[in-house]
Formats: sequence, C-alpha cells, structure tokens
Amino acid sequence: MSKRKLGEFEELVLLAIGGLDYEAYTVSIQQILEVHTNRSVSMGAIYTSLERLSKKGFLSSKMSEPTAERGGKSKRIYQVTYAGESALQETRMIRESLWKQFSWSPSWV
Amino acid sequence: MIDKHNPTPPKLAKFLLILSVAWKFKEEAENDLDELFRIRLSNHGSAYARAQYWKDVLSIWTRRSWFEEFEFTNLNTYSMFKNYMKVTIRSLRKQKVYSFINVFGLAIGLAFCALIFLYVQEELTYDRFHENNDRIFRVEQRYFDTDGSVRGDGVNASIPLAPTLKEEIPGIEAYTRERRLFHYVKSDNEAIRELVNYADADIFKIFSFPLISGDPETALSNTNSAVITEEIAFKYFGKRNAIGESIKIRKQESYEDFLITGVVGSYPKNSTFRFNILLSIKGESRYQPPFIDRWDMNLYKTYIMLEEQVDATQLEEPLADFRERHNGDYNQVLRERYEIPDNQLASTYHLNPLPDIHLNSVSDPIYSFILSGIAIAILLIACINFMTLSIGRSSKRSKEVGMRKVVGAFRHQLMFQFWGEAFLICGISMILGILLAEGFLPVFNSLSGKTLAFNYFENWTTFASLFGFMVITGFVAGSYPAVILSSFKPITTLKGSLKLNGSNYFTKSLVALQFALSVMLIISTLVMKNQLQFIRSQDLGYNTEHVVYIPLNELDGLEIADDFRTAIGGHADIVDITATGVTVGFKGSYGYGKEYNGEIKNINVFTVESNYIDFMELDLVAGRNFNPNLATDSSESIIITETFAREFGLNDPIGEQVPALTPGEDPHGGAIIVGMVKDHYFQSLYDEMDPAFLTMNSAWGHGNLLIRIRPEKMQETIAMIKDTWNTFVPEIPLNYRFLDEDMYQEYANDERWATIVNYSSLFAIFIACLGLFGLVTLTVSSRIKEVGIRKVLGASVLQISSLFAKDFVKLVVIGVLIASPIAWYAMNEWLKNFAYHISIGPIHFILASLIVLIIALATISFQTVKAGRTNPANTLSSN
Repeated sequence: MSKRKLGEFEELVLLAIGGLDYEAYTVSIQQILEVHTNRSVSMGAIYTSLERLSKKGFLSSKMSEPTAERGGKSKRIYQVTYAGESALQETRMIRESLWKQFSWSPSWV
Repeated sequence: MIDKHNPTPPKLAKFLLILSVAWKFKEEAENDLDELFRIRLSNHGSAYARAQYWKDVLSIWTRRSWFEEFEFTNLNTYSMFKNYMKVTIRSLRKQKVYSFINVFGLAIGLAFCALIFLYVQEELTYDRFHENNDRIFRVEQRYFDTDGSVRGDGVNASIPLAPTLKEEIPGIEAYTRERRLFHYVKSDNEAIRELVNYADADIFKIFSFPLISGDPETALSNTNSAVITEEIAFKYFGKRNAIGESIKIRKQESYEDFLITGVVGSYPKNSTFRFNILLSIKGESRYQPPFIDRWDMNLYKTYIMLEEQVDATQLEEPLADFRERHNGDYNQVLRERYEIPDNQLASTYHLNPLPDIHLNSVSDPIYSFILSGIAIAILLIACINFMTLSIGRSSKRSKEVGMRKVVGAFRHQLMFQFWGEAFLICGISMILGILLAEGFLPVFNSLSGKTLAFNYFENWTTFASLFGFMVITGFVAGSYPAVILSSFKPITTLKGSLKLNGSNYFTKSLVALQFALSVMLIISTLVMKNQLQFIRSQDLGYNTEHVVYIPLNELDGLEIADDFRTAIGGHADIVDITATGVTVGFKGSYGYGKEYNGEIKNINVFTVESNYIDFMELDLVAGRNFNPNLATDSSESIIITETFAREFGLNDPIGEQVPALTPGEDPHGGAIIVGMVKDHYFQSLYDEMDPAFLTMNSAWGHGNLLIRIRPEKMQETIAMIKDTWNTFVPEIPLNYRFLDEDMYQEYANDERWATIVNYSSLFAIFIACLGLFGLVTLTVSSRIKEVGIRKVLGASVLQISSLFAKDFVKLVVIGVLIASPIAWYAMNEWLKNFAYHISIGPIHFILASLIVLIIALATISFQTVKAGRTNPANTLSSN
C-alpha cells in the first residue's frame, strides 16, 4: 500500500495523462495541468513525478515517430498502466467515501 | 546580445541544463523547454518566456536526486567518489557559517575576476574582429630629433597622402581617410547632436563592418549618401526600412539631405574606427582647395590595407623618403626650427599596425594591470579565508583522516579528496560568482565606461578563462588542507593528542596579509577621495557658480551675445552675459606653442568680450580693463596673466608688445599689453599653470556663450533662455551645461578610478572580516575550557574578550605596517598626474588603520564577548 501511494501532484499528472489519450508527453502534460490548475507548473516537478510514477509501475512509455513541432525529434509518449488506473481508482474511492460523510458547516448550505 | 526580433531561450540557463551530465531526461528536457519557450513566447511575450525558462531549469536542478543519477555504482572508484561527495556535502551542511564564508567570499572574488577579465579581454582584443587586421595600418607622421631619435608621432595626415601612396607604391590594396565631427541631425523631429564620420568609399573593403543592407561597393560613392548603424536607423526611422529614406544633417550652416544607402549591424565596441553615421569624405568641408592638395596640413587620419602576401617591411624603403619627395619644404622648415642637420630626415611617414593602435596610443595597459592586481588581491583574500578556516577546522576533520588511513587510504587519495572538496566549493562559488558578476555588470560598465557583456558561447575564451579561474582558485585554496591534513599520522589524530587551533604562524601571517591588502585599498580610497575633494573645493580664482554654458557650433558668438543682451539682458534673473572663445577648466592648452629663449611656451589665448573680467570675477592687478568704446581694444589690446609676465620676463608689462608672436603672421602678433590679471586656474589642475592672455580679437571666434543666472528661479530662467534661443536659432536645439559641472567632467576618469578602488576596498574588508569572524569563532571554541578556568579564577568579561582581541589586533597592526609604504608609493605615483595636489599625511594612514581596527574589533567582539559571558559550569562540566 505504502509503495503504491499517490502524491497529490502525481495524481494530477496521472489524470492529465489519462485525459490526453495517446498525446501525453512532457509538454502537453505541463500545459494541460497549467490550464486546469490555473497555476504555473515547473518542468522540474513534471520530470520528478514522471520518474517516480514510472518506478512505481503506474506509467508506461514509448518513443513516438519524429514530429515536426520538435524540429524532427521524437518524443516519449506516456500511458497510464493498469496498476496506475487502479491506484487512481483507489484514491478516488477513499476520497469519495470521505466526501460522503463530510458535513458542511450550516452557513455554507 | 538579445536579438529583439527572434528571441531565444537564455543561454546561461540552457547551458546549465546541458550540464546535467548523466541525467535521464536531459535530451528530452532540452527539447521540451525549447518547445515551451516557443509556446510561451507566442502567448505571453519574450520576458515571460525567458523568466519561465529560468524557473524550469532551476526547478529541475533543485529537484534532481544527484546520487541516483550516477549509474556507475557498481565500480569501486565511483562509490569512493560518491562517498567523498557525500562527506563534502555533509560537512558543508553541518557547518553553515563556514560554508557561507567560504562560498560567498570566493564568489565575490571570482565575480571580481570575471568582470576584470572582461575588461582586460576587451582591451587586448581591440580591433581584432576586423578580418584583415594584420594587413591594416594607420599611416602616421614621425618626427625626429637632432640625434635621429623619435621626437613624437602625429596621427593625422594630409589629404593627398593616401591617393598618392596608392599610386606610387605597389602593394596597397585600398585606403580610407577619416574625420569625425559633431553635427546636428534630424529626420522629422527635433535635431539631435550626433557624431558623424567621413570616410572613403573603400572603407567596407578594409574594415569588417557587417553591412545588413546596401552595396558595400557603392554605398559611399556619392557625397549625398549616408551609411548608418542599426541603432541610428531605429532612432530616426523606427521599424521602417531606412534604405532610401533621407536624413538631414547640418554640416555647415544649414541642413542638407542625405540618402541612406546602407545600414550596418551591430559590431564589437572595441574598434578604433567607430561610427554611427558615415558620410563620404568627398563632401567634408575641407575636401576642397586649398586644403585638398596641401601636404603640410594634417587633417585626416589615413588607413591603408596592404595586398595579401605583402609584408609591411616592403613598404619601409619607399616610405622613408616619401615625405622628402612630396613635401620637402616642410622638412626644411622643421630642420631650421629644430636645428636638424641637412643630411638627416626631420620627419617621415610610418605605418602603425591596427591591432597595436589602441594599447599603444589610446589606452594605457597599466589600467589593465592595476585592475587585474585588485581582482587578484580580492580573490587572494577569499582564498586565504578558505585556508585559515580549513586549518582551524582541521582538528575536527583530522579524526576522519585518521579513520580513512586506518581503513587503508593512501595519502594521494586523501589529497584527491581535499582538493576535490575545494574544487566543488569553487564550482559552487563560480556559479554564484557569475550571477553576482552579471548583477554588477551594469555598475561596472558605467564605472569603466565600456559596454561589456558575457558572451559565454560566442567566445570560447570567456568560458575557458572562467573555468581556469575556478581551477586555479581551487588549487590554491585547497592546497593547505590537501597537503597538511593528508599528512597526519592516524595514531595521533585518533588518540586526540593532535592540537591545531588556527593560531600557528602560517595562519597568522595569512591573516596579516589579508589586512595588509585591505588597508592598502582603504588608504588609496582615502587619498583619492581627498584629492578629488581638494579639486572641488580649490579656489580657482574665478567664479563658476550658476553659470550656464552654451556651445555655439560655428555660430557667431558676438552676434548671439548681442541678441541675447537686447532680448533678456535686463531680466532680473540674469546677472550677466558674455561670449568667449574657450571656457575655463580644460585639460592641456589652447593657443600658441611658441619658442622663447630656447623653451617652448604654451601661450593660452582667451577670446573674450569686454565684460569678461567682471563676469568671471577676475582680479585686475595692473593696467586697465578693456574699453568697449575704444576701437583699438577690439583687436590690438591684450590683458595678460601674472604667469605670462613672469615667463616672458616682463617686469613692467603695461604698454609692451606681446613677446614671441610675429605681427602679420600670428593674428595676435604685435598687440599691446594694456593690463594684467591675477593668476587663476583656467586649466585643469592636472596642468602646471601656463602663460595666458585675454583678447577681444575675434580672429579665433567667440564660440561659447556664458550666462550667469540667479539661483532662485533656476528652472524658469533656463526655460526663458531656451525660448529666447529658439527664436534666434530655430534650427538647432539649445544645448547647455552648467560650467562648474562641465569643468569637473575633466576629472571624470579619476573619479571613476576612485569609485572602483572604493568598491574594491569595501569588498576586500568585507571578505577579510568574514574570514576573521570564522577564525575567531574557531579560536574561541577551542579555548573555551581555558575561558572557563579563567572565569572561575575571577576574570571579568572585558579581560576575557581582550585576551582574544589582543592577538588579532596585533595582526591588524602588522597589516597596517606592511600596507602603508606600498600604499604611500602607489598613491604618490597617482598624485603625480596632478600638477596641484594634496600631500599624503599621517592622517590618511591613521584614519585607515582606525577604520580597519574598529571593523575588526566589532567583528570579533561578537564572539569574544559571548565567550566572556559563558557560564564556566557549562564548559567545564564536560569530561
């Protein structure tokens, strides 16, 4: 369990990759996270998370065909593995079960 | 240099990224960041994109886990290396104060070195960017003395020289003559005063100026065409294409149109031939009779380029008698004047190679030496910190050394370890130092009057040299711990019987040396400041307060002064108005150089109006003032200075004729002396006072207008002067300065040096104190038991602190003793530049010593007082 734990930022990265559907590479992940979180996301954080997620077996990757937008260089495309999906699922279940018992303070309702 | 039209990621950041040797994501990250840069550039602009690029690179560097990246862990050497790194980083982290002192001190030292390296590099590579620099020469005149030795060189040459040379002497491929002048320039808006150069059409064949647009062959072939630099094009035409546009230049008394036929991109600033606006020399005002074929008027600088394969020595022979053949009369004149025998040459032409011109005749290499000396001194102080602190800490590291030796380390391995540590710290300091240097670059540029920049990649020498500094510093700083620490015997260190507490002779002499260097710089600062203060407060013998000074640029001064007097002369805020030829306070002399009784006298001539003596508040000591109603006074009367009378041996000068000037030939020859004014410092204080006279003769022009105003309503009065000016001279904007400020500009160079030395002494004393602080901390902690016992026996806090302070005060005193004679010598040499200067007194030395002593005592008092106040129970209770 502890080895499979997802950090908050790692969770976001995984979700971003899942949503990008075969177009997930470093720059697109960074861009989509910036749009969704509305904060600037540093590349250093992206690389560390990708490295850790790969080590935990939550990500698989392969090199793409060379693309024009990177000056004829190929890029590494990331995909969420089954283990990654189940880790996301697990985190989500924990959250949802917690949400269910969350009581809003009266004034907010 | 940032290209505004096509921004690229910051180069230093990119380099830092590439430095990630074994990092898995390295190549990918480079591409990623490039792509992101482009995205951000198009969305948010270049500033944002660059800032984010930096942020990303830094985030990558701070988040990387270094040890995991080295995948050599299976090899034994590398795991040893890993261990060294680990130990180094641990000891850096554990002792934050020492790490800070070492890293920060070295960073400042290295930053200084980096800046001064840039300065020296620019000086040494002057004109080297011209591809043909080895074939380009300036043709100069060389004058000889009676014994055939060189009396001096003249850089200007006559107009017909260059074409005649090319015609008669084989091997000359091209030539260009040059003259530079200030002209008013305008396109649509208000006129601006610009430096304008005139040159021959072949200039682009000779010098490597990058012509962005226009044809180098024909760009300057017409007298109404102009070649400008990119900056000038942007200034006058904005983003429009400047080619085909026209620009108005006021060469003489009216504006003329010039067609832009070429635009030159930016070129290195270290070029002897520099221009903003270039016109054809055929349109220059003196490129016509009678000057055009006069061999005795030296008006233009002349550059020639030899053909490839032609050696400069091949030209020596035809050049030797060139002057004699074409301008023999002039040599004859010189022979008579200097009594040179007939069979000997009085003057000739010679070739000065372009790469030598700057250092030999424009700038003095001594400046590069002085600056390098200062930088090395500061770096040395930082290195000494490193050494003394590692000696002080060696008792802590000695156990590690013992342990390593017991386990089987060889001495050379330990040396490798300690030197490695030094290199690592130097590496960190270098990165910090470069950042510091980048931060200080604008300040340094304004101080040195240059526009330097770090080009890490265009110029490999910059990079290699910075790396070289780092290696040398690491080697010097690490030498003591590497050699001494590695020599410890394991048995003594492990038993704990080794005693090293940072108070041996070696350490002491290093600290004394640090203070000697600091004191030297502080004494220099004090003397320089004092001299500049002396210049400012010197009573010059005339009054320059609230005088507005307006150069008239070939307008008639008498006429303008009259116009002004009628228009605003009676205004309550205007004290007086006068027109003069030259203004006071210049360096050198302006007038005649005449021989009198076998000596050359520089007679300075002031072309003035009749109210000049009253205006400047000079004292008339004999004779009378000029009389505006007397017709003869406007041309045939002069008023001399006391020095003039003395130099020419005139005991009763009134009524005499001016000596040494020939009537008919010299415009002021034959004039009668009607009065004498008290000596006043009309030249700068660099010069011994020359003889001078005032004349109303307008032969040399009244080129400047002086207006003394009342200080109360300065702004309004100047606005009013401006309005009046615009009604009289609508085509030229008013260009005014305050006379006292303008005069002080003569000393700007020395003012800059004083500031550089001042900054250096601040940094030097700061780094030295950092080291002192570290050393005191070590000494106190190693003698803390002794302090405890002394306190038990009844010593007071003051006694304890003075116990420690005494040692260090001794070192400071030794430093002062070493520094004083050296500083005295150096500052005396500097003061020799000034004809009028202060003398260095004991006050400078005492003040400098007191400053250093107080700073040093304040630094150590933190620790010594703390030591004195410790409770002996705490320190004595352990073991």
